[in-house]
Parts: sequence; structure tokens; C-alpha cells
Amino acid sequence: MLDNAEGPERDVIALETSALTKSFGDRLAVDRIDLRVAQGSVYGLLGRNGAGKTTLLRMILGLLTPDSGSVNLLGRSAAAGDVAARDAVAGFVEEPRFYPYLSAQRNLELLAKLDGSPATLTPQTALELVDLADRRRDKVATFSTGMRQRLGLAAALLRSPRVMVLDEPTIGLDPANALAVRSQLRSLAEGGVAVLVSSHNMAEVAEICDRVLIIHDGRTVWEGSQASLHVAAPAPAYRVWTNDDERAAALASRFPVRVETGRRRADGAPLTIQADDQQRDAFVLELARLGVAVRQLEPDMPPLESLFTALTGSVPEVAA
Amino acid sequence: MSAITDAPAVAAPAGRRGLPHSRPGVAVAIRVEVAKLISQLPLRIVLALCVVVPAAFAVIMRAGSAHPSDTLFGRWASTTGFATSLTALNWAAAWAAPLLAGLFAGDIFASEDRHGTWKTILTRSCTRTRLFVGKAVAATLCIWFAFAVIAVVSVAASLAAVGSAPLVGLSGQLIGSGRALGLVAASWGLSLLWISVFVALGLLLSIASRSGIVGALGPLLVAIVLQLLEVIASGQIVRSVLPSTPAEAWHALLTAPVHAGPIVQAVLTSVAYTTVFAGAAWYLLRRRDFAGADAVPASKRRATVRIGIAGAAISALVGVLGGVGPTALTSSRLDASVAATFGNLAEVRYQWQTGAKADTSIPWQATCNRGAGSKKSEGAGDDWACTVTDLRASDGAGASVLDVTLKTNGCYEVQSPPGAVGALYLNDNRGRAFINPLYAFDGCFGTA
Repeated sequence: MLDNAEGPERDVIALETSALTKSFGDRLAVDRIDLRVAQGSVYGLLGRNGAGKTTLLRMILGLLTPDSGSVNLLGRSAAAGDVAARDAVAGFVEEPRFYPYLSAQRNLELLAKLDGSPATLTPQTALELVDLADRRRDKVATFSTGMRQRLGLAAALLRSPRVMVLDEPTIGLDPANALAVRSQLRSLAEGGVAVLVSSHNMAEVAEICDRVLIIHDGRTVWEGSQASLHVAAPAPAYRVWTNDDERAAALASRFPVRVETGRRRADGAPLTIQADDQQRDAFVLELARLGVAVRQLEPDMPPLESLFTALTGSVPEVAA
Repeated sequence: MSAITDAPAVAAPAGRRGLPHSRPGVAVAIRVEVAKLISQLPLRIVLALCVVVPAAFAVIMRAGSAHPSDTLFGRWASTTGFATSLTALNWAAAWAAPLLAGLFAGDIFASEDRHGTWKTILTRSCTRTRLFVGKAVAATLCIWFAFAVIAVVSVAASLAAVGSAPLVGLSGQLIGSGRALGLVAASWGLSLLWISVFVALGLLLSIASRSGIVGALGPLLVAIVLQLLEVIASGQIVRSVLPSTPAEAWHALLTAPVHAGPIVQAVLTSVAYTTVFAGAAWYLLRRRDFAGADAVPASKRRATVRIGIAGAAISALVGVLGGVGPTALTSSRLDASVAATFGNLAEVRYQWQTGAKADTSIPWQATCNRGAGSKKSEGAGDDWACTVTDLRASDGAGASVLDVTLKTNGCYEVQSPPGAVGALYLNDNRGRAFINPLYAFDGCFGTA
């Protein structure tokens, strides 16, 4: 269900796929995916492992030939392998990979040569932007996963792109660097870049993306803006700690809330309710009236996670 | 470690906006690939070996305790540096060429699979075709360079260590030092054609198998199979299509007169195989989908098995058909070649012995036949016997019977009876010992 109804359309669509489809043998990896990424926005692609996210990104980057459908970049049809249509596109899929026997700077220098001209960033500047300047002479073979991830971002920035396609860009990064990458992606969008980012980190997508597409078994199961997400998401869940869990559970069963009891969660909460704001307030007031003290109540699952779980039947990864 | 810089500079990607973008050409792709190749330690070690091994061989030949007489020019390897270098060329063409092709070309595409870097370079602004050409040319240049290093070191070290005495050619003619240097250089240069076939084969195996091991060892394996087929195939039909023909084309330069046929055939064969292999490699790369690491292992296994089956089938077919068709290894051709070579060597011996020019008008005749077990006097074998006669001796007193081993490539090895031609070492008029060129000698008449 492609939701295009709400929210103002952005001025320019920088990246568009139309009914993009790809099979590997009998397995349908991507099934008629439509997406539109506007300039100056961050578009999130959510899905479980194997849902088809990376295959979709590979087709957008020209590494895979679609069975059917099309990719349009900056108003130009982009067939697989058409580098001219992708001059202003940068990014990476899966873990960024480089020549391990070369230094970080040498890798970027060679990639810059393959970019042609003009380039606005030097390899050194790109390395400074991702905080790898002090390791620029070290061979990539000595880099950690997180450092290679940052080097991948530097390689993408080197192209001064107008469309950025990134596959799980914060995976392997420590929290500080992950935060900085998210901030940088927002900065890029504010500067007019269309950013398409895939992830299964709900918090990350919720934090930086303007629109979200949830993909499951190769198909779009939901697409829309963050605003529409809150409307579409199921009622939020809350974890509740009381001084009398049995009575609280008994009371909850009389309310129109969905209750999960009977097993103690890893965080120690004995009771989880799923309720809208009104139902939750009424439940808490009733507990107080009965003399049951609410010691703690906190959201269990943000709207995006609730929606993702409802649509894909899986529990998403906990945000880093 | 501090966090990544949140720099506003990258927020405005104006670099490519509104500016004409010039995509990198083939020259850039070549430079990038050459830079990658020469940055790899194993390949630097190979280049170092290209210097050390031929130099060491020359030094060993200078010691003169043993020489590889079963190799063409090997029996003269301790006598003149030109022969030393040509002996090295035999081995370089047979083993160094496929090894270098495997190491440089056989891994140049497969290494992108191994490092997972296809997605890195294919998302830049260089087209697949230019990347292919860049890699192919870079691999070719590096291999040619390595082979040229072997050639230069071999010639220089051989001349320095063994000396620059005149060379005895493959028709028994004595080649002066200046001309010998030119012919030796041309022989090494002609071998670059043969290398090109292996470079293209390496590229094809590298792309088709996506395996550095298959790409690196494949050319060497093919070279071994070709050498086996060379031994089996005596028929002209199969020999004319064997890709190993260019490997020995340089023999033609050292016969008198120089035969153009084998050289022309080598050029045509090299161009044909190089074009077919490189074209197939380009086609496979053009239509390849880069589906990710999870899709590679099964594809690699399938491709490697298919390549193995195809290679075995082609080898078996060539082996079965190896003797089909007419052969160039006839008694009449051997008669003419042995007579001319023996006559030339007799002149050389006279010249070395006396210091004077021999009478070049002495007519020699050879009559060659195979042993009693062979039905026809043609084909390769070690049972040939050639009766060489000085036609001036009407009573037949000048006749010598030589044992000849004729190979499928049109080269032969002659062992003369010591009683007829003298001992291995003779003394000249001043009492200095020299190798009797008639004692044992090699010759070639080619099969083209």
C-alpha cells in the first residue's frame, strides 16, 4: 500500500523506482517496488534480513539488472551499468569494501581517479570528515568494521553526490560515531541531497527519515511519511510496574486494552499493556482508585516498531 | 577517538551540480590498475625473481660443470651468452609466461571478487568496458614488463658471465655476435605474442571462475596440457590450431634461411586466440550481475566445474585428433635439413680448428629413414637414422650414420658416432680445446 496521499510533495523527485522486480532462480527477491525519494529528504528502507533491501539498492546503484521495472535518477532513466546516469549518485551496499593492501588515502585517491572530474573534496578532506585523517596512511587491512564503514562514507562523500544510497551506514559504529553519521545524513539532506538509507534499526529510521518504506519478502508492505506512521501504527505498548501485579493484571483484563502477562521480561516488567492514550490514562487512574501504586510506566515499543512488528510478524532489532 | 566531524561543507554537494562531468578514460583506468598491481607484495616479489633467476642461471652456466643439452641451445649454454639466453627463453616461454599470466591477469578480476570491491569500483564513473580494457591492458603491460625484465637480465647477465662468442644457429650456421644479439632480442620479443594468448586466457579464467586460484593456476595447467598435446599432435590439422604454436615461432629466426611461415602462423594464431579469449571475457563481464557475496560461492563452483569439464573435453578431442591429417615431419624435409645443418657445422668445425674459412661448396647429402619397427618414414620419433654423405667421395668413404630424434615441432636432436666425426672436444691449431659441433647438434625445419 503506497501512501502518497498525505503530506506535501517535495519539489523534485531525485530517485524513483517503478515496479522494480528481481528474481534469483525461483526466489522473488524484489517484487514491484515503487519508491520516490525527494531532493533534500531522507528516505528509510526498513526490512528484516533477506527482505530484499540490499537487492533493491544494488539495482538502484546499477550493480544488478532488474527483471522488470525501472530506475529513474535525477530525471533520467538509469539502466544497469549506466554510469552516466549515476554521475551524481554515491553510496554503498552491505559492508563497504576496499583494497586491503592499500592505505585509506590511496584507496580514495584511486577511487577519485575513477570518478573523473570535477571533484570538490580531496581524499584528505573526505577522511577528515569521517575522522580517519590520522589513520590515512594505514592499510585498510588493519581497519575495524566501523572504520571501514566510515571509509565507505568518505568514499561516497568524495563524489559530492546529489543522491546518496546507503545500506545500513551505522552498522559496526560505536554510539558516538553512529550519532554523528545520522547527523551528517540529515545535514546532507538539508543541503539538498536525496538520501536513501536502508536499516533494520528502528530508532535510527525514526530519528532521521522523512519517509519510510517497509519491505517484507520483497514486497512493499507499508510506505508513508513519519506523520502518517503514527496514524497507521497500532496502539502503543507500555510496560507497567506496580506494587501488586496480580490485581493490576486482573483490572487490566476488564479494560479494552491488550495485556501481556504471565512471563517476566528481561527488563523485569511483569505486565505489558497495549492501549491508546485515553485507555492508558483510565487504566492508571483506576489502579490508583483501587490502591495499587504504579511504580513505573514506560513505552515499550515506538510506533514504527509496532507497525513493523505488526506488518512483518517479527521483532525488530533493539536500537544501538 | 572523536566522533565523525559534522561538517557543513558536505551538506552542500555543489561539486557536480551544473558542471560538465568528464568521465575517466581508458588511460585513467589503466593507471589505476597498474597502481593496484604494483602495490601488491607478492607481485613485487615475482618481479624481483624475474631479475634474480635469469641472472643466477647465467652464473651457473658460467661455471660450466653441466649444461642442459636436452634443451634447444642448451649444449652451447656454457660457450656463448647468446645460447645461454636462448636456453633461458625456452624455459621462460614454457613456464614463466603462463605463470606470469596467471599471477597478473588470472587474478586481476578475481581479486575484486575476493576483496568484495566490485561494488566499490562499479559505483564510480568508469564504465565496465573501460574498466575491462584498463585491467586487460594493465595486466598485459605488467606481464610484458616482467618478461622484458627477464629478457634484458638474461641477455645482459649471460653476455657478462658466459661471453659473446658467435652463436651456432639451428641450421648449423655461425651467427656473428652483432647479428646474434639482434636475433636473440627478436626471439624474446616474438615470445610476447605467445604471452598475449596466456594473458587473454588468464583474463577469461579470472572472470569466468571468479576464483584467484583458478585464474592463477589455470594458465599454467593449460600450458602443461598444451605441452602434452604438442608431444602427441603430429598431424598438420591439429598443429595448425594449437595455441602453443607461437611459443616456438622464434626458432624460425635462428634457421638459415629464416622461415617466415612459422612467424606468420604465430602472429595469426596469437591474434585469433587473444581475440577470442579476451572477447569472451569482456562479454561475460558485461552481462554479469553483481548480486553480492552470498551469491558468489555457488556461482564460483559451477563456473569452475564447467571450465574444468570444457577444458578436459577440448584436450581429449585434440588428443584424439592429434595424428589426423598429413604431417610435415617427412623424410624428405628431414633429409634436406640434416644435410644443410651437417654441412654448415662441418664448416664451423673447420673454421674453429684452422682459423680459416672452409670451402662452402662441399656438397652434402642426407638420407633419413626410420627404424625397422616403423611402417612409414615420417612422423616424430627417436628411431630415425640419417646417412650423411660427402658427395665428393665417390666410393662412399665420407658417409656417416647419425642417430636422430625428431620431435613433433619439427626440431631434431642428432647424435653422431664419435668414430665418424671425432671426439666431443677437439683442439685447434694453437692447441686450445673447443666443442666439436658435429658431435651432437640440434636443428629445426619447422612444421608450418
